[in-house]
Amino acid sequence: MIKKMCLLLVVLVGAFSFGCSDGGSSGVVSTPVEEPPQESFDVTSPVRIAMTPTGQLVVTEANDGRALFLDSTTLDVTGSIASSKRLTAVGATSDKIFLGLETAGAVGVYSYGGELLYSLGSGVGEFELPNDLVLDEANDRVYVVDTRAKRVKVYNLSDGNFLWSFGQNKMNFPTGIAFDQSSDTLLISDFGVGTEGCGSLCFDPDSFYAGIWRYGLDGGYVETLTGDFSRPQGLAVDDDGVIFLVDSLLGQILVYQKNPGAAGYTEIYRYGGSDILLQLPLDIVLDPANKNLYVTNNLAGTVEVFLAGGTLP
Amino acid sequence: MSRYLIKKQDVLISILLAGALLLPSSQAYALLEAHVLVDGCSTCHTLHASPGGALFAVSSDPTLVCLSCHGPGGSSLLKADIHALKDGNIICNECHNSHNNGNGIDSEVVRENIDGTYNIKLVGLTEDYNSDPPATMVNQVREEFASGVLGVPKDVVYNSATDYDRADGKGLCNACHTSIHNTGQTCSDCHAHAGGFAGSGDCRACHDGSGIGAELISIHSPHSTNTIYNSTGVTFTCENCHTDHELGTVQIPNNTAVDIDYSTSGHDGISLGNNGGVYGSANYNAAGLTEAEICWDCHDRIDVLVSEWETNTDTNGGSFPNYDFGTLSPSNWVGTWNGTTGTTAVWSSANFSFKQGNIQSTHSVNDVDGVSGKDIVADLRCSYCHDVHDTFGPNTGSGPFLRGNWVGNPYREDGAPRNDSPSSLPGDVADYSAYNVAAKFGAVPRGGATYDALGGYFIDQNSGNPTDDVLMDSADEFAGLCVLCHAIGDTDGLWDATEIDAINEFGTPEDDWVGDNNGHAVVVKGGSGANAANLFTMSKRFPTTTWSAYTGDGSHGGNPVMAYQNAYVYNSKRSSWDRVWGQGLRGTDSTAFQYSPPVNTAGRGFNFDLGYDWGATVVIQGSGTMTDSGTDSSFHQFTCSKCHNPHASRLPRLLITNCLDTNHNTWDDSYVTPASDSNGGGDSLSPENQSVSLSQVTAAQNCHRLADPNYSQAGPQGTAAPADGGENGGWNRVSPWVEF
Repeated sequence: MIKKMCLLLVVLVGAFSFGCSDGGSSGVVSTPVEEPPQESFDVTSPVRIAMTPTGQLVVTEANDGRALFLDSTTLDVTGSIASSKRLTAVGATSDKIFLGLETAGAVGVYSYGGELLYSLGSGVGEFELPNDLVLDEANDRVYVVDTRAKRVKVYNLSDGNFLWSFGQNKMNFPTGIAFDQSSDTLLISDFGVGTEGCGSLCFDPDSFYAGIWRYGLDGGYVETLTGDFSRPQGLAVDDDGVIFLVDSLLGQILVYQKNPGAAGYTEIYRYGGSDILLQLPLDIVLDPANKNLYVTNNLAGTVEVFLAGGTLP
Repeated sequence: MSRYLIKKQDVLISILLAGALLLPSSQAYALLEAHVLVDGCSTCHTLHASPGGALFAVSSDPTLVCLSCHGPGGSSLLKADIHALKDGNIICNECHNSHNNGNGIDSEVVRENIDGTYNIKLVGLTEDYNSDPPATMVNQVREEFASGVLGVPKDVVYNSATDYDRADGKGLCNACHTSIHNTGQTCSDCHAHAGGFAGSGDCRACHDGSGIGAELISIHSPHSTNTIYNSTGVTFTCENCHTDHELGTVQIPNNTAVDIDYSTSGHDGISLGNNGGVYGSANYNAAGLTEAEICWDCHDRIDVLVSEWETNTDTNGGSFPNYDFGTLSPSNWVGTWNGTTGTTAVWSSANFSFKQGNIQSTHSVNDVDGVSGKDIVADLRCSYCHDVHDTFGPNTGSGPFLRGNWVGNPYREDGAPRNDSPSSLPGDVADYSAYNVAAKFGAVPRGGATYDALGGYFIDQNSGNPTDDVLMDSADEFAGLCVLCHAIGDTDGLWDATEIDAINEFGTPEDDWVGDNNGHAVVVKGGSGANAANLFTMSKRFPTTTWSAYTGDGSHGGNPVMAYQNAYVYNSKRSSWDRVWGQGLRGTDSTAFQYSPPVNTAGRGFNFDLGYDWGATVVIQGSGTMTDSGTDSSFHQFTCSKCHNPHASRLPRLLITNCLDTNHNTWDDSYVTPASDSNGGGDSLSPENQSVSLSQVTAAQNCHRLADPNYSQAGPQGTAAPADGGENGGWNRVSPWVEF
């Protein structure tokens, strides 16, 4: 089931309708025309989400082994790519879909028609847990978070060749990754101890349990962001560097803005909780065209849309 | 429903756990090592207002705490999802102790299970979170029903991954599930915890074409959601026919010969049948106690019947007629067709009223049936031939979804020429009157190969030679399905002559064939032709005299052999055989016997022999001698379906034709030769031709003729006479040739 939910950010009141494109009110549900059911796949256990250059959503399914294409306006499933593996990470260019195959320890590169074009690195077994990825087409790179290997691995986007990795001496259980276009840097969510002798102090002296790493595109460490979050997952960043972080345990989207003229970040808003019940949300994508936020609400088996949620209050 | 209130009472749970943390050291919780390595207690709990966030505090759902690591996107490789039930879910801490295995290590509280061992994976509880307040348990899991009702706590022993379903009933799954299947195996191999134990999601999770042994089946496959809908307007799912865990009323056992083999998945076969629900409703579940009944339950209901009776799906490419397999009454075979209960079902021909009778043989396709005849309904294995989801074999996408090539009978229905008036079916009156009485053999049902009206036999020569057609000119094309089981010693999935020669499911050739040899070799297209019998020896055909040329100078009728093939006289001066007048029994010339129906032979001295066009060799003309013919190897080139019904028949061995059972002839009852007679030439009617109907005379073109006991003086066909140790003709000994 795809829950089509529209949230009018300004008043923080959820307005539900069966078509979110115009934010209109609920319509009359007509009796469906009796016709043979078509082979279709519902969102049941969404994990990661990405947006194609044409504005289509791509969602990976953990249990169904499929990546689903969703119309970003109606959230209807318009197509799928089949796999026999549990899927995690996803990314899209104009002609390729990058999929993390959790149970194969691989990232496969597919055509939109579902044909496997090539795999990153050595293919199966290249990763311990390819959890998230981000594409940098300008520099022909793919950054893949390997949670269990406690690092980010970098590959050529065009041919999948391995380039280098970073974070292995710092990261605990890196999970989500996003590209901050405002500073040409990468943001990687992380939590836990993981690294021997490092513990929670890896994040900062106040023993924060979870944090966000900022790294340069070349793998150089930049800074650490901490806050009151527990299980940080996917991230999205707007053109101004505002960070939208999914916390799967809190069931919330935390919005962080860099303090103007000072170090550190301020949490300026949270989505989820009283407005929309997020149960194990895992990833988020920001539509740059209309500032809608799309969130995979895993346990509920839905993709939620926060209409214009990317517009700061 | 207090259990759900308890589950969601995060406040209460938090208080309880917070309290637990404050317990004296003897009751303090140790942690599973893997959890310690994340961040110790802080992995889940908020300690001392740690800035790490609200971990397992008021707003935290305990299930989410687990899933935030063990769920999708989480850091753990031990993936898990909640166990979904109909009316609620089983959450993590209803099976798992959150802290340790209780093996006493690192000051843990010792928690032995009922066997005195220690469970792994945090399985087994010491507190029952389904009661309020939590009750004490001893490494147990409370039984829960899909309805939401709670059962009693069950002892659980879980020492390894094979302890989900234990033979002693102490497995983790056994807390709620009775021992179901694959006891002692790792249930999570198919029912992954990551998928909430949901059986790999659904049937298609395995049947996606990528698994071993599990073929691709989609909702577009035959007998699947969309295709059934298109036929019936009813939407069914896999579960309407199939049952998981082999709990259905029926199991189709694995059979590697037909590519049903789920042994590697721990399945003994295909499970189906729930025997319940209302047909056409969403809760309909494959009613029927047997596989066949489940099939029939739908196929006998829908508006356009899909039946093994009447005219089946075109399987010969459309250039040949499609055989009408008649009807069965009552159409529902359940408990009736084999006469075990209720009314015995009666089969009726579509073309001949006289062909009606109880089912005598069935094709169970099941090795458990070691004798021929009627099989019990429960033994019928429709699926061994019909690949209902079209996963194996030709994959035509349309019925009858067979596991191999098969061509239905491309010959019309054989039947005794009758004169039943008033007629009700097309073959009740043999249309011999339509034949040209001036033709060579005049008005008889099978005077020549062009004679193909109902009432008589249909063989290659008057059926367009079906097996010359490119679509069915090899056994692999017309019986590729049969090779799966009937080709003895086959290794390549293709028929060869040796295999065809040896086809014999029941009995022995010596007992069952008139020629004492396996007749398949000489009648099935592709057979070697070995051991063909000569049906036309004088000793068999006309035993009272020796082989000879037509007697006399040709001016009289004489006593002919079949089709007057001895109507010659040897001209010693020219050392050649000359045709003689063959006025014979029915000729109109004064030298003939002039019996009815007449044949106008005036002015046509070579009437008969030139008219014979069936092709079989009857005599061999030597230098002044006329001897028995040689054998005609592979004269017949039949498909299997020419003689056998693949489902059931009123005749034994699934035979559908008695071919030349002249007992049932009635067309010639009024045409009986006199007890004694002579023709204009002075020749007397031979004893074999005295007081017999035309189908029994020596000239009749009925090669495998079974001697009609009403005319005992007539010679049999194809075998020595009973007086000579033979029998009354025919071609096999299993059909009930005499049915009067």
